[in-house]
Amino acid sequence: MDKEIKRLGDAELEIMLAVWEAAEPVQSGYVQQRLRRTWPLPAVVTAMNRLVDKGFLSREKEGRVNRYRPLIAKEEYKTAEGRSVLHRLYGDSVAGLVTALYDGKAIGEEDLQELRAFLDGLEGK
Amino acid sequence: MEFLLNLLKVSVIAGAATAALGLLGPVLRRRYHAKWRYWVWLCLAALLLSPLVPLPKLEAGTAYRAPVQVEVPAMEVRYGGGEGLALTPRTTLTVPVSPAEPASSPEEPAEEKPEAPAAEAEQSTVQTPAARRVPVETVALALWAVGAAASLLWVLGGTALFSRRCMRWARRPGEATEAVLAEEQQALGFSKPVALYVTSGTASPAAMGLLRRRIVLPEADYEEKHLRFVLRHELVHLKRRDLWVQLLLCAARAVHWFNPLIWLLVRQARADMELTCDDAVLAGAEQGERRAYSETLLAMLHRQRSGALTTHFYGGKELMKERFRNIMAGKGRRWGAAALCIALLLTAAALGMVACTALQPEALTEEELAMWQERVGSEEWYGFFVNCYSDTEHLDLDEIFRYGAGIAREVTDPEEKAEALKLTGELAMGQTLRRMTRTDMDQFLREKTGLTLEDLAHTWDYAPYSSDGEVYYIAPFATSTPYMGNAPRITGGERMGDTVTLTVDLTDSGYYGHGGGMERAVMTIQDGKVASYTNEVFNAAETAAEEHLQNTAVTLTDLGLTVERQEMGQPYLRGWDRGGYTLWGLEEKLQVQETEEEALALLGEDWYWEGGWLYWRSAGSQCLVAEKKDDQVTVLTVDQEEMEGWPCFGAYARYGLGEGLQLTQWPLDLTELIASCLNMDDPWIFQRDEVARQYVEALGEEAVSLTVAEDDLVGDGAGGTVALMEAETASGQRLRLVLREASADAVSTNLPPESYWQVVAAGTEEGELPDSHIPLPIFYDWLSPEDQAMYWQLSRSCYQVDRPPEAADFALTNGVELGMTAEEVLPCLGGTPGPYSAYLHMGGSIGLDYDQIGYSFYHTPEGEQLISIRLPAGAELTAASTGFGPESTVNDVLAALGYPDHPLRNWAQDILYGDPSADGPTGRFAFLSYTTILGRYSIYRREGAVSIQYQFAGDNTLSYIDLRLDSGRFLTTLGPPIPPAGVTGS
Repeated sequence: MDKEIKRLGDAELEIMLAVWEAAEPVQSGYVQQRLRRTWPLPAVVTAMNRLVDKGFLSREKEGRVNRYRPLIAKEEYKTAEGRSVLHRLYGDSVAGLVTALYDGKAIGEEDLQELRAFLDGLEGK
Repeated sequence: MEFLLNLLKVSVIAGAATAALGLLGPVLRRRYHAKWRYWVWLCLAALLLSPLVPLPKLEAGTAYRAPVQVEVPAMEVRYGGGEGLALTPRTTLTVPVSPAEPASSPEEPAEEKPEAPAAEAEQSTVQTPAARRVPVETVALALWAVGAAASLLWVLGGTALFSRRCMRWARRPGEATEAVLAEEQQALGFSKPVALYVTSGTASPAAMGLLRRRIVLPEADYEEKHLRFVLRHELVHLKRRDLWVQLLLCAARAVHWFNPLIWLLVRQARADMELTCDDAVLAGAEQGERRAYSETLLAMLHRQRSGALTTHFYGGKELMKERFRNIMAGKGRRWGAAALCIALLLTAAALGMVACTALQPEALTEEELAMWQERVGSEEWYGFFVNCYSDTEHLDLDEIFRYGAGIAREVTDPEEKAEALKLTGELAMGQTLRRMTRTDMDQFLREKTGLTLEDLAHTWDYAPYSSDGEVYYIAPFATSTPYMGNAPRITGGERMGDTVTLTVDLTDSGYYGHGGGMERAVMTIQDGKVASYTNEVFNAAETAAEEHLQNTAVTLTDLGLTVERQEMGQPYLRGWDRGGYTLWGLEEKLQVQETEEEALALLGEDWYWEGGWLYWRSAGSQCLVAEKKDDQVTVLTVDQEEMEGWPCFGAYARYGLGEGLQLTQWPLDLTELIASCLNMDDPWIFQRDEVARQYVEALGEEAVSLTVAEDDLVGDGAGGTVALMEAETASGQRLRLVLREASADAVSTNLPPESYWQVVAAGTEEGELPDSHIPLPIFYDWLSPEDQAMYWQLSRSCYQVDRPPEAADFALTNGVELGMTAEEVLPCLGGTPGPYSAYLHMGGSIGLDYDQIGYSFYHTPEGEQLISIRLPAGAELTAASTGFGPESTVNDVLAALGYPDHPLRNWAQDILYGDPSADGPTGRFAFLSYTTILGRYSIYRREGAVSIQYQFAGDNTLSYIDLRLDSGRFLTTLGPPIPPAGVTGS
């Protein structure tokens, strides 16, 4: 089965998001700029090295700089995180003291057709 | 407790409102904007939270009493005490944890009373621990708090997790997006900017953060038109502070987590929230824009991954349709302010109409307890504290009214008094004649119990009543008290709502109603009216009795008979002194055996079926219980006591059999008798001669001749005569029949005297000794042991006499002839009649007749006691008739009469009047007594083994002379027969 994907902490996820967004392997400085909070660069490097240890990133030396590349795809991680108990409890739905655009989770094709037909019907009136 | 009740009340009403609005939904939706409904939800949500807020009590509200009162008695959970878990109303009174211990009755009954079971009971008391009690609201409150906390945590936890998930994956949107956001914010008039994030943590665009407001968008490419609508939608939510509304709704739902209707309410509210938000977004928009908005909504729906098995959208689909309808309908619907007001008013009205109060038990105050204690001893109330009843329908009226219940008035009208005295009999000293009208009694009962005489299961036939049935007459003793010993003690009481409960301690009470064995009782008073007076043993006995009767009915039905059960009242469950109450005997046995099964086994008596009649034999006495006629069985009575019986008013009749004479096989058909008993106006007479004739015919013979051999065999004149008849049959047999008369004593009831004869013994030949020559009558087996003994006695006296009467016996009349007056008779007897004469009653009493006033004394080893003073009708109260009391002695009376030296002052030792040499009770003596009631008097005299009674009629003429042998049997009667008792004059 899949190798066990460890759960990322908040900061680690932020880093991974930045990495995933980049089309190519990135430097730590690139990531630092994209973080919401301001981190000192050594802290970023430490964190990224930890991610390498966890198997999320691979580090390659290019000349004098390290370039980091994701080893686990974003979707893959998202799925893995989605299997956690808490995530299962609340799923993809919006929960709690939150207002959403619509109520419900994902919609299937059939229902979608039904709604479209319904809307078309209303327009006629 | 009030809090919980209030919570419940609010929950129910709000839930009902939700349900109502849900039902009306389709109608309302088409006519009104969603906005008004939204406001209803908000108000309801606020209402739902109101129990948490300590509101000041409206003082004015105390005058108003809600039409719907829900009174919930404060309950408690009791556990331990060997009973397991029980939910019972809370009480301030001590809770007994073990059955009443068997008390040692003051007088040991004849049956054995084993000591071992008493010890057993005591052991069991030791073993069962005291029960512990916890108020039920504590438990309920704890449960509620846990539920509410859990519900709240679920919501808050979910929010926190969602928020975290979103922010973890969040990133800032692009510039273009930010620009659109800024435009929309400004258009809506936001002063402080709202943050926007794009995140894969959410499937749909959402707004969150009560304090730090932000909008999250799923990762996607957005067309600007869609983006605008989405942002506008979420911004409207934020602007309207919908998140605070959500908080309100979630809080209400948490507080009312137990009510699914409130969950429904919240869901409806959220739906309406979206609808109104859509309305706000599209305020003033045209159809085109509306269509575009709908398209946006569709476009924003998070597509399900293909291959997923189920749709997660089911809830949202209907809502989406609703939203589309709402959007496209646009204007053209009314703002339902009126509807809102109506809905809120109705809810408020409902709230106002229902008041929930928790009834707390409060202990009665000292004054109240004292009041009840006083009532226990009062004439008016004591009767309710005598015999037990689980329903006041079964009150024992005799106890209630026998002393007058405080409503009886002295009879003053001399005419009425005279009539009444005929019914009650002469008054003894200390008795006063009193009257009570049915109307007064009805009112009294209504005040105390809410019932009238009609409603009660028993009738009161113990006291005589006027011919129209309206007035009862009683003659209580002034110094009477129902208690022998101490009165019952009220040991505690509490009130809960309308109900007052009193605990009564009877341990020291020599109350004749209870006897020994009943230790405590509980009286319940509902809304000021006595409701019940029970104790554990009584309850067990009542249950057992009911089951027994029920089983009986079932048995009869199984036999193929149609059973119609009449109102039984409580045939078993009356006071101790009533005698023959199996169940009070059972009470002892219950205490000894202590199981209901064994009690039932004791109740299960023999039944037998004889000649169309079903009999139930219990404790040696028979009692007619049912009549079968043409397969129709009517259960008439199960009352086994008072066999002398009084025909009476009521749903069932108890017919007279006379002095304990048991019903035998004869006559074969009692249908008419029973019918006439039930019909109170019919006289029932079975002529003596006719009975004899029918008896002979029943034997298969025809009576050719019937002669009366003896008209009055026993002749004790105590109501019930025995006659000896001879019958010759067609086949040549000679039968000697002893017939006994059983008649109601018309002195005490107002019915005309009836007579009913019955053959009680029969033989064939004169002179034969019963034990060897006379065949036993066919119903000998059905006679009770007493009757069997009497049969033998009668037989013997029929066939074996001391000696036949001789001429010399008649010489004892000393020349007294019929038609003489008393003044003429007395000299014939010897001795000078003085203004007084004395007699010695066999029972040990002595009477002084002075100037027609009779003083009766009772002689006991302790001394003598004046027990009655009799006055002739019309006599005036003089010094001679007053001034005496129970302590008065013969010497007192004699001294007062002016005869201080009369020999009678030593009456106990003295020989009786006449002959000092005579020995004891068989010596010569004579007396003259004046009987006021019957208007006649008699002279009674004994000479050795012969006693003579001279009876004078009301007109003072000698009408009757009886000669009686020592055996007590009259040899002969001279003169016309004495009219039946109750008929005055001659």
